[in-house]
Amino acid sequence: MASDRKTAHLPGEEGIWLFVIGDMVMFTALFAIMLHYRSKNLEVFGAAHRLLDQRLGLVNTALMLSSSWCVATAVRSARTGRFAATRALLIAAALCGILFACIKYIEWAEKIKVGLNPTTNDFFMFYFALTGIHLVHVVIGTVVLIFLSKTRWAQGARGNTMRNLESGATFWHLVDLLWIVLFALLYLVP
Amino acid sequence: MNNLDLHPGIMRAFLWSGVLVVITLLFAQGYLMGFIPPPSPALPAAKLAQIFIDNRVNIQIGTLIQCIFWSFWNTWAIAIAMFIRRMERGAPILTYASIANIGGGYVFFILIPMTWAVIAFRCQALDPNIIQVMNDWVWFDWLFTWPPFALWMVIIGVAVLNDYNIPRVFPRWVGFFNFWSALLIFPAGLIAFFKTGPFAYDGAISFWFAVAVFFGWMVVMTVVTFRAVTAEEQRQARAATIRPAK
Repeated sequence: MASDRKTAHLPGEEGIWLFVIGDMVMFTALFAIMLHYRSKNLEVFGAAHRLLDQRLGLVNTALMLSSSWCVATAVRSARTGRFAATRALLIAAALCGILFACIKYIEWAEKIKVGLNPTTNDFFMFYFALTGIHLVHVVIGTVVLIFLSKTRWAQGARGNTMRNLESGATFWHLVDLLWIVLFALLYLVP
Repeated sequence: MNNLDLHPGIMRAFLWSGVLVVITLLFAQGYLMGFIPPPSPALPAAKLAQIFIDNRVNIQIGTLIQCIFWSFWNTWAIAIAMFIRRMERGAPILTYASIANIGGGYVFFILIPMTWAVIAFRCQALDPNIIQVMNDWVWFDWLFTWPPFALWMVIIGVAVLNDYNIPRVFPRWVGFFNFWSALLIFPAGLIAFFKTGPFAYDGAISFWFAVAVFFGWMVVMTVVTFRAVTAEEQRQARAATIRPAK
């Protein structure tokens, strides 16, 4: 296993890590700007945050965590040659992604129906913009997972196929991680 | 197989033309016209009209310069498209898609100085509300038109990751860098919703971040393409020693 290897293993390839770090730079900037606005406007943020549906947020968090578990297990299955399991787990993870997007749609629709939109106040500006930017990540990640589930493992878990699977998995974990921070910042912080 | 040798001199000239795009953007639009950063979308129409009246001649000179230099977007981008052709095997679908997006994107660029020139043309006689709408239009043209550029970044990324050449034309990270840039200019699309704050067209994210990513991407692509031209030149020199030209 990993412990007998001389060199540390970087999952995926270097390029995907450039992508992940770059993306985190943007989200760090977004979070910092939001916290800056929040510090100037604590009352508005506090009152508006109570209008969010924590249950839907929690369901989406559960979906993200489950999908990440599926993806991580899919990678492990591929390493041990159980490719049917890999395929099933990737499809399950993609389904979690699709469900996540559906729930986000329901959540947004509810907000807009009662007159809460991106221009209502600064809190909802960040709520819609940040969850929107994250949703774009979910859609791209889901497409990547579906694409990876179609991998043909004719040559086993070696070379490029394994590298691509790990790269895709790395991206999906980023999507999950960003949601956890968003969930905490938007839904939980009082 | 067709001869796909690239002319290193023309390739370098085209790449430098992209450097000129960035420099003149800073000089003409930033220094002369004073439109970096943009005027706030929340600015009252009368105040906005006054900017055009007070700064009319500089704006007119700036738009003329911009009108010329945005053309070099085409030459710069085509230098990269030539390497996409090199990276692609068989029918050149990624190359065609690149050319379509480069040319389509260019139309948005030329409309930026043209619209400002039209505003400045009759700025004293125009109703400030009309100036306001036309000026909004320019900034939407600047930022809201991100999709063809993002699409081209994705096309470059796909071409880089599928490159069959040995050695590769671009390192693989260039592919991921393009995917990243494509994703990061997306917040420019949020300007439709906000007149103030980070997602307005003068905002920290939708303007500064998206514009920094785009022009940073141009700089990175220029550097890596210069390297690819040097490699191409060396390849041609080696080929010439093996098989002398007629």
